[in-house]
Amino acid sequence: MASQDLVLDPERVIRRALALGADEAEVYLVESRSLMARSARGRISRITYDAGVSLGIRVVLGRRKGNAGGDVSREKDVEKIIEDAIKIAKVADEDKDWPGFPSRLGASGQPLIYDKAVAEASPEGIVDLLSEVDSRIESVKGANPIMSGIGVSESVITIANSNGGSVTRRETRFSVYVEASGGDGGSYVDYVTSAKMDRELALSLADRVAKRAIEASGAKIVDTGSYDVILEPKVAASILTAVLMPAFSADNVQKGRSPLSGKLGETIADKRLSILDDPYVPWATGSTPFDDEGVPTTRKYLVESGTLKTFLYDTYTASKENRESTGNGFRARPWSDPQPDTTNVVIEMPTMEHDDAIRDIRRGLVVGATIGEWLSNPVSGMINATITFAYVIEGGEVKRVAKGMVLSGNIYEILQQKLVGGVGKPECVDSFCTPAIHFREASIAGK
Amino acid sequence: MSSDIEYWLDRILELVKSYDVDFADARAQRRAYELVVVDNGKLREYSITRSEGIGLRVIVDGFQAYSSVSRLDEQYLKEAVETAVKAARALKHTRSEKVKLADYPSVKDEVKSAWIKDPFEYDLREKLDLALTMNKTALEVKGITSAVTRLGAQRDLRIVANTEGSWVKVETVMVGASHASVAQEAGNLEVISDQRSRVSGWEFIDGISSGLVGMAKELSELASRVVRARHPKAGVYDVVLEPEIVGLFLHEALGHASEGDLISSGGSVLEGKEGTRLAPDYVTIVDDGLVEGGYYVPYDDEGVRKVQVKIVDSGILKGVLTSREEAAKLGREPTGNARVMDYSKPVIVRQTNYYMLPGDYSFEEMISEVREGLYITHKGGGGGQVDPAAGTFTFKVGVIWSIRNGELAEPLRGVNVSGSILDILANVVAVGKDLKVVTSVFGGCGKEGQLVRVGDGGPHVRVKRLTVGGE
Repeated sequence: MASQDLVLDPERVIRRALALGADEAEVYLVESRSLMARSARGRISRITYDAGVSLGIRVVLGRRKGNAGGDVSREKDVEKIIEDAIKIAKVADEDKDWPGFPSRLGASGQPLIYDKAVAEASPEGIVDLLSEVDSRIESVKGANPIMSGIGVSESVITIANSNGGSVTRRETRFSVYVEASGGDGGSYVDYVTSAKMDRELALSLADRVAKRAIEASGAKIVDTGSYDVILEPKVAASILTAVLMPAFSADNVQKGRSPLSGKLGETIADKRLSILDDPYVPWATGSTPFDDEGVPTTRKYLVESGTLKTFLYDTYTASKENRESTGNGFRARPWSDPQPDTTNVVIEMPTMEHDDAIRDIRRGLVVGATIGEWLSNPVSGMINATITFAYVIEGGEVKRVAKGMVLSGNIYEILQQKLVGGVGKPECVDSFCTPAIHFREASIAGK
Repeated sequence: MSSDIEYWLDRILELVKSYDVDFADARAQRRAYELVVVDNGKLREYSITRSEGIGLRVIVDGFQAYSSVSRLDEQYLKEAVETAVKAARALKHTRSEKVKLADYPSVKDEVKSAWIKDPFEYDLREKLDLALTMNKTALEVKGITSAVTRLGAQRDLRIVANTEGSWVKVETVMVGASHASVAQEAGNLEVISDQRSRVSGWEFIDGISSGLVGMAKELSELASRVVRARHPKAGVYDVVLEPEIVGLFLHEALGHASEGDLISSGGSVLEGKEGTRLAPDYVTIVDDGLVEGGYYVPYDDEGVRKVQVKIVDSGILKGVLTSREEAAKLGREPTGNARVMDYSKPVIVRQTNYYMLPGDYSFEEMISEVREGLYITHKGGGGGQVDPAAGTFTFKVGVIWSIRNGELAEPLRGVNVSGSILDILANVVAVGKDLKVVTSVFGGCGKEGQLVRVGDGGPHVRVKRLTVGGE
């Protein structure tokens, strides 16, 4: 990728905001560029290059706050963004809980988040790898690529405020998306992401997608009922991200929308289960030395041996409880307010071998893919996920592949009463590391 | 003010003409978005965001590449052009596909959605006060522990121009309000939400402001009632769907699978099914760029006029949504469904406003014919997903009412429902005579990392054998 200099000076933006009347100011600046190649039916159909500068500003007048931002096209846009933020702050209500922007910006260390091979990837290199991925699918008899894509990106993120200086990190992202058909209605889709360029990861993804697309041929819905369920790591990660992790946010706890409210120090899960928030998992997409307020990140247990140990705090929620931020203030957009969120989640529990786990199941499903799991309800704890690929287990053996069922259940009931344990080796998916998770008596709506 | 961006749009096309390209088009965009979030009686966030930039597509010897530029000056424009041309050339000796675009006459036009009060000129404090009133009213209801209210406004100016001489400018203004209330009882929590958006100026919000305060209160009352309810028992049910849910159902169950890029790549179960019967003859489903209540798509982001497409015509699968690229691949006409999230993204085939045309049933007749089943509504629901290649769709529904012996009974909590694309429309047994299409200023439809505004809806519809998640 071509280099593009950072032309904006955050310190200058802050000085300008203060000169225009702000008492405090904060800048969140992202300079990014990305390259993506996409193919259809194994033929590359387009390549896309994107570069831009995105700016978010928060200003405070007294205890009244205004947010503004956007993509920066010219110098005068920066001035307009500052003016918007100040215009809002002038009419906003005073927030008596406003703690000020954090004053101790800094990095907690140097996690592995930047790979030069990703940053320097050429269009030719990306296209060659995508061709290799498609060829790999075609080499499996009966499998055909539908759509595939490879993306690389590099971002430089700078956070600065008028109380605490400034911090900068540079990070990269490598992602591969593969969808294949296997005949007779069989298809499978999957993706991988990492901060590191990883050819083997891309090719093994192609192998798995091709194999499962063929296995999915003729997949049918199973009967409604109660089943043993093993959620493969990717499915476990996306379900827990949607239904459980928001409950650890101190904002949700303080505002009465977390089922974990008031349960600090209590047993909330099976004693064999621990949940870690870890910003230092190598190449994982949640790794970072500081959060989106510039506060150093920390590694800590949220749940240790089944006991709830801590919630996740940003500066604002921490101040309300007269404590320090845990370095978990993350934002959806450069101009949004931070909200407490996880870095990487690591699930720790004893595991058994995959074949041993299967052997003990009378009637069950090993769930490899779902859709709609992100629609699960974190406020009630209700899991809702529609299964698009599952191995059906009968009498301890894998019999066939099924799809089209809805999996439901309450996550807290599962973690406390229905958990059988972990299965196989833990895998890291995006920002979530977990083994497959086995539990009993899952409600399956089928035919 | 738009003359500035128009200058740079013309300039990038001039620069690209100095290269030997088969075709180029450029999309200029200027967008502003305002969001007010009131959380538990307090202003949490008030933000204004503005974006501006130009995206370029080139086709060089049949190879297609995109680049974009948010920094509008000669130097960055030149780099964007060089990058796109170089990237297209990089595809030359690889397993690439030569791209052809379906012919389309050049168009020059300039259109705007209708608005009276520009939301960005409207008093900030009055907007904030409305959100605060909605939120505080919702919190006064017994059993409510939390409430979040949002007001949103968008102004989106898009100009697309190409080397064939097309130049089309579309400006859209849209506003909306949303609310969510959380109720707690006996250790259980439930959240119920709803939103109202319209392609309009602030006059839409002004006109319904007392209704919005009423909406917030009703959502709280519903949440306090539903938190005491159980979930349905998992299984297969006869259901009556509310229009908002019909929209979500069609968007997921048929809409994506009818997108031309999925069909041409082998990623849709509808491939090769044209002309087959998918539904009874009283079912007609369309994608339309201009409909009351929906989003405003008079032209797509290739400058193609959006036409109404009958996807299912009296039960028979007929239509496919296309871009110029997919129209050429499939031997069809461009339908005006090539859309981008923003200037920096590639055009892909998207739905616009997807809905079922009304039939002749009244709501009461429909309910009275169900011996045992569910009436599925949208409050607290929303959102869905489909695997169009596998043919499975799902979406989240809101409050459910039991139907027993033709009458509505107790409420149940919302869950996810699911079905098979190729089977479900055959199970439509009654179509209502009402029609409602809705859109949202807070969200839209996601595909390949791009979110675009869409609308969807229909009449009330009765469906047999829908798979419903639950206890």
